[in-house]
Amino acid sequence: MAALIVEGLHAAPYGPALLRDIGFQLEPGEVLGLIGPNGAGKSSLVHCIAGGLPVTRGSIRFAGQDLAQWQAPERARAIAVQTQHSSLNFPFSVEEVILLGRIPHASGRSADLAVLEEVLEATDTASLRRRSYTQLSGGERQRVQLARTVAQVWRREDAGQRLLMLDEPSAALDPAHQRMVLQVVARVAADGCSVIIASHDFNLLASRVDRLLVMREGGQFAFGPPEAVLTPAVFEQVFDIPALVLPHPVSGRPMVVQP
Amino acid sequence: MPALRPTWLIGLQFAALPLALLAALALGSVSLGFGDSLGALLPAADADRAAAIVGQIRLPRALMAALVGAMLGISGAAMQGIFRNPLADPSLIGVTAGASLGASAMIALASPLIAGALGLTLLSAGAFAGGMLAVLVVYRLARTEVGTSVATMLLAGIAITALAGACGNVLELYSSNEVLRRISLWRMGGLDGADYPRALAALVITALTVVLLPRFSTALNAMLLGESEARYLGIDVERTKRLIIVLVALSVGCSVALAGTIAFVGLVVPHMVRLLIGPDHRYLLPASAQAGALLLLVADTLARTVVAPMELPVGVVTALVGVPFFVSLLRRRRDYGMQ
Repeated sequence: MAALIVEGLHAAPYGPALLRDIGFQLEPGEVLGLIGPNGAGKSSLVHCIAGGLPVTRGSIRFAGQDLAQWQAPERARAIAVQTQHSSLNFPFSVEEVILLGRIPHASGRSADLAVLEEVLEATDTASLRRRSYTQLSGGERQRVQLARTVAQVWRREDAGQRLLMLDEPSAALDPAHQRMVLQVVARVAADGCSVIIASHDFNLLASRVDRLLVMREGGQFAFGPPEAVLTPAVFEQVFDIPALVLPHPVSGRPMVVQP
Repeated sequence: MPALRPTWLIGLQFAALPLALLAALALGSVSLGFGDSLGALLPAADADRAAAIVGQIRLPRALMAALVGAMLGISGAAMQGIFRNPLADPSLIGVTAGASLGASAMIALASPLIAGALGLTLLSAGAFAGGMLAVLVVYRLARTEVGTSVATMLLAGIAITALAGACGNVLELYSSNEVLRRISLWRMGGLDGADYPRALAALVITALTVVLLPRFSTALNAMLLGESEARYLGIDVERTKRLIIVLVALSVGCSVALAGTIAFVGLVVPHMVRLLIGPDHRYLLPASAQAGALLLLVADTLARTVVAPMELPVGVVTALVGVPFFVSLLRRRRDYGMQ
């Protein structure tokens, strides 16, 4: 059974429609990439699935149940979101920030500390663990926020079905840490957690995701495996740029090159 | 990393509170010595002078100082949490300005009645009503169908504060010199009206605040990340904001009604505590209540003794005692890193 089923989703919380007729399915452990120009609705879709934006029409079903029926605490045990901007400017230590991700779970202090250790290692934040969050650079903060978010859905026993959503998680990261993000994603996905990543880095996404959803003006332009979706025609129509799509010399997966 | 283990600070302050209370009982324009003041508290004490001074004057006043300080300290910490702004102050939601206007109006309009215990009660009632009314207006202004915007609340608070200030000025323009002086004295804040009924009122509201606010510690920690982040951690953000505003309005309204506006405690006490033990609200809230109580107890004892038999306004002393301590903390810990 699919983990996430989105059908005919419309959202217009402030009048004009932010999302129009979105529909797709995501299996447990599958990774979905969201691409589209600025303002296409990627973040709106993430917030809508997370319950932060009301659904005007259509439905979102998660683990076989309409998400509107879920209580907030129950939802927080199963769905974790890394938003684009966090306004944290109080001097929590990095460890304290990551442990905030365990708030929804009553897993106990020792289990939470075990999660903390694993997540620190996976996100390469162990060297920052005692630093104050307010002293970190932009990229370091983004890694800590990633760590906090994955800590929320890290354990298989935390929820029957898990979903991790990352909204441009690697915008401020160096190339090595951009790879790290995808390794973390691969690791939680291999453990059965579904993942949605919004990003502008087509090549990084194409190398790892199972499905791509191309958005334009709040609507769904294309949905499918990267090989089917990443075509010169899509780039022409959606991003208004000419693009060549070549097979990657090593992996054979599609690779986007601007001429 | 915090300079001090949170539990140590809480333990230390817990031990310091009875000492500060005892000092407040012993010291004053008539110095009693610690033995006599302790003895005066025992039921067997004769109805002598020491017992009268301690029992009738100093004990209710010291209790009220500690309670008002606790309310201001914990309210300040909670407000800085929901506004995610270390510069937030309990007066930001308009409660202090509204209470000031309420009190001024009482002094100006009912000045023949303002004398003795009844007058003080009327004044307190006016201040409390003014404070609650101001918060209600601010809250309604910030409320939309999507939720309560803290940014709008902040701006509405500033607007209502300015409006209440202007109305207060108009009142003062038409007041006699006598009324004017009483208004300005009241504004400086003071605990000289303390008696057991008022201390009891303060005790009830303090108990409510100190028991209920810490239940939102985890929610406040999550809300420091941002409101949508807190929502995605399963926190009911709207309910948290609503209940915290109600509790803060109650306790600050009560403290202004009983002791006038005492600046500085609500803003700086949570900062001092955060500098020492970090921003985790599970420790910050109780420790701020304790630190506020300690600061106001010490400040009021100084206010009574430094220029005895005259008295300084306690707000002046809280600033004079607190600011040097705060500045030295800031200088020692440059990595505080607020932005």
